[in-house]
Amino acid sequence: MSQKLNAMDEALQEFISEGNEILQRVSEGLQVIEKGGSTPDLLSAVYRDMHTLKGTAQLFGFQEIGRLAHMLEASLDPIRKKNLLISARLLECCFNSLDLFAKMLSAVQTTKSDQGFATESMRMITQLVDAASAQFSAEMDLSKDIMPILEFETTKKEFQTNTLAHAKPDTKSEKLSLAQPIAKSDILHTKSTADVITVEKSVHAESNVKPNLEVKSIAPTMQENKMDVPKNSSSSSSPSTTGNQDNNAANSIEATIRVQVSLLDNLMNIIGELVLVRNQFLQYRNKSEETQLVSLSKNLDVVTTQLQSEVMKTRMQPISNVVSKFQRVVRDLAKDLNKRIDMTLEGMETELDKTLLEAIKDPLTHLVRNSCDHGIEMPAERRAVGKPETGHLIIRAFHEGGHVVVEIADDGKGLDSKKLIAKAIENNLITAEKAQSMDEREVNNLIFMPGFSTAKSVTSVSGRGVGMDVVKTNIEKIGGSIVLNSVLGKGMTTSLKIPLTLAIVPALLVKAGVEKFAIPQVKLVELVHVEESTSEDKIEYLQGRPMYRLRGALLALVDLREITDQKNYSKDYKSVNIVVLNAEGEIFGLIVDDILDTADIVVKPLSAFLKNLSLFAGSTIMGDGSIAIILDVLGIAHFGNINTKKNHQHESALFGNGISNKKNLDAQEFLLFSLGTTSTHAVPLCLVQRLEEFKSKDIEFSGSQRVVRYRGHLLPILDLKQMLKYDDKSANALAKNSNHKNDTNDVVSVVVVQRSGRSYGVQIKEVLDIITVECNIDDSVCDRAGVLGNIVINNAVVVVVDVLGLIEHGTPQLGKSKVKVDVDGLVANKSNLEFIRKMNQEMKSKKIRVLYAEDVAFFRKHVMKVLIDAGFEVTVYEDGAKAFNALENSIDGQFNLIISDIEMPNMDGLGFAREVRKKDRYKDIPMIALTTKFKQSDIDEGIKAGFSAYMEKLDPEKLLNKVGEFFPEFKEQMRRADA
Amino acid sequence: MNIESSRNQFSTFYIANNLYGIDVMKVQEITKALPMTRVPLSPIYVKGLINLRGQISTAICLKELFKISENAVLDQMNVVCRINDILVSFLVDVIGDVLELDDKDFENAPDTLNPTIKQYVKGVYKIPGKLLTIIDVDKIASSILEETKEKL
Repeated sequence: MSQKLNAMDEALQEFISEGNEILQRVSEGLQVIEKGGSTPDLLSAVYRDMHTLKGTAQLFGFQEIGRLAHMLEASLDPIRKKNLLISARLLECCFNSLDLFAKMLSAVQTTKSDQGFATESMRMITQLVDAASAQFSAEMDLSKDIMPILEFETTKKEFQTNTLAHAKPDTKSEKLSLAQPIAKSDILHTKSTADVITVEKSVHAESNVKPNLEVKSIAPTMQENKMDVPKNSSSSSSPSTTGNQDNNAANSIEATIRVQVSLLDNLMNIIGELVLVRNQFLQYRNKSEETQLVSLSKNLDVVTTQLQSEVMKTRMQPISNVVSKFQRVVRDLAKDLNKRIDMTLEGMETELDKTLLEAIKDPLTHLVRNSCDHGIEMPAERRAVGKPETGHLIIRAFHEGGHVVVEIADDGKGLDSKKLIAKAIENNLITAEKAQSMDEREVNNLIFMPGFSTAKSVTSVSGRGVGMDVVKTNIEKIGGSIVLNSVLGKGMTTSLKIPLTLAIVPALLVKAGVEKFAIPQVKLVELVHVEESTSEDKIEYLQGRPMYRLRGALLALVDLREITDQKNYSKDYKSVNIVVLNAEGEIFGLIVDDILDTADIVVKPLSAFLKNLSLFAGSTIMGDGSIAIILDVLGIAHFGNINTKKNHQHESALFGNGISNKKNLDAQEFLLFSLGTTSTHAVPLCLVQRLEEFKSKDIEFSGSQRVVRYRGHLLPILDLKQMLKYDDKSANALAKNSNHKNDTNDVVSVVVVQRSGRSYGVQIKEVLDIITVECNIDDSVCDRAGVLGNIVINNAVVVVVDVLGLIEHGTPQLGKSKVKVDVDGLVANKSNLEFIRKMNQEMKSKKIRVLYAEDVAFFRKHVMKVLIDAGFEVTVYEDGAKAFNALENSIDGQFNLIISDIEMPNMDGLGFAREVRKKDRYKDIPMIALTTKFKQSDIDEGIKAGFSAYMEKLDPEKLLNKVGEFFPEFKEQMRRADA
Repeated sequence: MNIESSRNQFSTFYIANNLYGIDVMKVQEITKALPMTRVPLSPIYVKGLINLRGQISTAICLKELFKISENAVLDQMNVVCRINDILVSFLVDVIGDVLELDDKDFENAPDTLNPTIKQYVKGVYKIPGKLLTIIDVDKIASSILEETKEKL
């Protein structure tokens, strides 16, 4: 009710302002015409204005204004058409009409009715007709236009009833007495005319006779007046007592004025400054003891605060300005779609900054259309599921914690997760296995992905595949957020959370050196404080760049002091504050000196001179008058060379819910280390058990083999540089320090790897880092034995070392194990490819025939070698689809083991497994997933898809052991071979 | 250079003991040294941002812009100009008087001037005892903007 009233009021105000503008214009026009400056254009303009006035007046139901305007329009029409000279008499009538319009408008302003003017307007019309017919009687046929005159009699009757309504109050109920002052003021307008007074009297007489009838006839008027009274009681009662109608009319014209938004902005700025001055003044006051000053400053404080809030209000507009238009949109849509939709608006008086209101208009329109088109079902459909045929759409706006929330709720069918997933997979937005791991919220959020549309066909309303992503972007652009809440079959609610004003942004204040910076909080993920107390929790370095392991995932760090060009900052990361930021989905950490506070800041754009500094989004003035620069998170990400497109896996590792929209590639982790030679080396991280540092003096000798007592066992130390047969002379200069025999306090870095259940210490010079690379091991150049190939990291070649191969082949004396180390206390499965080869002969009868799917040539080659060496028969395909095809075409029992990679083009490992498990005939074939990096969740997913086991690619030991679990004969053979 | 009106007023100041002037109509105000917030990575002549009663003004050090190598004067004064809606504070060493000068004393910038400075110079007024170099602030603004665009 209340918002309807507001909207009505507002529209009425607009009508009155416009009406007065028109009168002003017409009056000016007529004056020019009077002076003989009549031109066709001018006449047309006057005519058009009258036409407009007539139209809008009739729209609002102001019959008298409408009638008079129509008559004026009709009288001017012949003049306009034939470009005649207007007679002085007609002109006079026109001016008089204008005066009457002005009076009627002012009455409308106070009473929302022009009905008190019936007599006066009728007389004016009569005069107009007289004047017009006097001028055009001969040639013009005005009869059509004078038609209204014929209605005079009826009008008179109407008029009487209406006047009744106003005049009879004293005898009636309370509600009527509310209407009284207004009625009186109406009558005041018309006081001059003797007619009215007579009529009024007669009405009084009548009212005494037939009270019942009158009550009925006044009902609508009463209703209207009752609505207006609360607002107008003060303004309408005062003129009725003073009788100063001219003054009132003047007020009504100036009730609203149009002001440039820029002027309001300036005003805001100046007020902001005033507030700062006030704050400084208050600080000064606190030091003073003068009572006069104290009381004055209190007044200043109050007035300033008031001023500030009032000026803030100038930019605020009720949300109904945008939303009330949806009534029509929904009505039309419902008609187009043959649906029945009822719309309810709530909280429409909620106010928002004008610019924000503009910004949410399109997104809101989109959401409303979506609800009508996709949400609410056809009436028949609704009946079938037991819902009322008429769908319900609610738009609700309310304040919540410094934000305005706008909810669009429908009781339609809601989002269908299955359809969403199917559509997303069809459009290649997500992979099938990704879909499996998504929770409901994530699935619902799929509709925000670019290029997503579930509408089955493109209609004029929606279904073009653009939209929700744009809605989301637009809402986020203004610092808002969007949340979906959908219940299948019950309906969907979309909540938009919008900041109150665009200009004010919540921000985190941080310090770098002596300078303060503000970071918009929308970009903020979390704050991390790293106190280097344990070796686990610290800043590490990768190629000289700082990194931090945040819950197991590597977080690239950017130092704010470095990028903001601070001088002499210490690179001592013993105790640091990390602000974790989200730059378009890419998470990175920003190292700052200090985290100060959060604050609502007013964003001021940077001067055009500094626009090229992409690192900064703007500046703001702090409470103390100093300036802080606002950081642009995306700019920092680019500056820190953080690729906002590439590393999506990273995000999902951190948060476990990332939706990757690109094809996953095999990612392999490598440990980078140096041997003191010219090249950097790496081993697959999955083979590394621990990294240790031993003092040189702790290294003892068992015969010629260096060993270290380690966890109650002896750990053989192998010098990788020797094993790789690097020429010690050429690298002598570099390797000087690594010579462990010379300095007993020297520290030896050792990588502990496990093979056949035994641990081996591989001595290296220095651990550099751990990196994740998408597997692109190039095995075309292997200059020496023990090298698997090369990978390229940051344009530098890194040699990947085949540590297990080296241990196996390079140290046969250890393979037979005089020094037996059993770290984990497991039964040592001594396997040696030599032995496996021998046992091939024995197991020919029960040969293991492997179907192997792997897309990367390097792994294909490497794993096949292991399998073939173990005596298996291997058929390899480069993706899941081809492998499955081969399986389908195979004869029963042709393959008795399937080994598959996970990340593959066309059909990935999970899809492959699902297909295989669908068929009963393959149910007994064990499937081993062979992948590079996995978490427990991946294993669960894989097992669910149908895999029997998950194994790492570069660990042949474990793979063969696992095969042994499925094939007891093979295990037996291995055991025997070992023995 | 238009020499229509015979007399013009100039707000004058000193940079490294040389007298310079800006058309007084271009100058919004002159203030004492105000606290500045450094803008990292900005060109060397941008000394920072100044809070000028709620408006943020960019401080441009003319000495750096003109590449005059002389020891920096502490607490330089601000000559605040609004050029195409960009609020700029030019940092100068010492503020001089506002001079009303006759166009007959005006001459275009001599060719021998250092080209770095000459591009920003409108001309010279010969006043008793010294020469007043008139700076074209619009030219300064446009060439800085140009530079900014190139970097973009």
